[in-house]
Amino acid sequence: MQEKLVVSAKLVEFARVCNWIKALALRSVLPQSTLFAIQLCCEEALSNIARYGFAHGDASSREVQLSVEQAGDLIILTIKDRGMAFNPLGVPPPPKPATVEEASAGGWGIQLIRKFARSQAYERRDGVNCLTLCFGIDC
Amino acid sequence: MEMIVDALSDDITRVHLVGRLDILGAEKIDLKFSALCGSRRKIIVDLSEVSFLASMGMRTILIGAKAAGANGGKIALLKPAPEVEEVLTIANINTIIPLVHDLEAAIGAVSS
Repeated sequence: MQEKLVVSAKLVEFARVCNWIKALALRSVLPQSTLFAIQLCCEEALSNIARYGFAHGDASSREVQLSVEQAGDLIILTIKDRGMAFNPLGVPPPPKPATVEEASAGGWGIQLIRKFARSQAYERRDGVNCLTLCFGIDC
Repeated sequence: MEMIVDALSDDITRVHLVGRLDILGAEKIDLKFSALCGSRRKIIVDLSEVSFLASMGMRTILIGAKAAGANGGKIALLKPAPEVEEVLTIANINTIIPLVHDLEAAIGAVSS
């Protein structure tokens, strides 16, 4: 299985990504937990790209390419974009909140990706951010 | 994402969230959830039918909790599915908002 999808880095595209992953999961008979993990990591990664990756620049360069392939009992998801250089894996977690008043839901995306993807890797090459996430099919 | 509200008693409100609390789901209920939480004293948020939760959905829950707190109210989260609970735990939401698995415990949490 090897599939690709190109979307623009806008929140309105999220439903398309979600449906694409769901269709992939159905065709490959992936467990619900794997589907959840992939959709979650996609949403968190795409949110970062949409919000921070393209502060300036024309809309045509705001493309994000997602590709999925299966290697044995692993699903490998690769997310590439030409936004500003940003390594999401280098972001530390926010401080643990003591109260509801001081809590923020922002900043947890990377931790969610770390926890829900079995492994994560990032590289920047030729102006492209490339995030690779692996998910176990038996998770 | 749908939001269904019912009164458990005179002063306890249960809010059922049904569906995906992803970016689009969160956007759909943001305002009315926050408005509801800010206008009630004891709110039980039933997550048993929430099939997906990510950061934006947690933001919606937090905004509701803050609105309730500002009004002197309390919220509790009821029966999240395992993966939804894991998301809430990773973000430490469970350490600041009671997260329980039965209705009695939820009633106790918002009444204490």
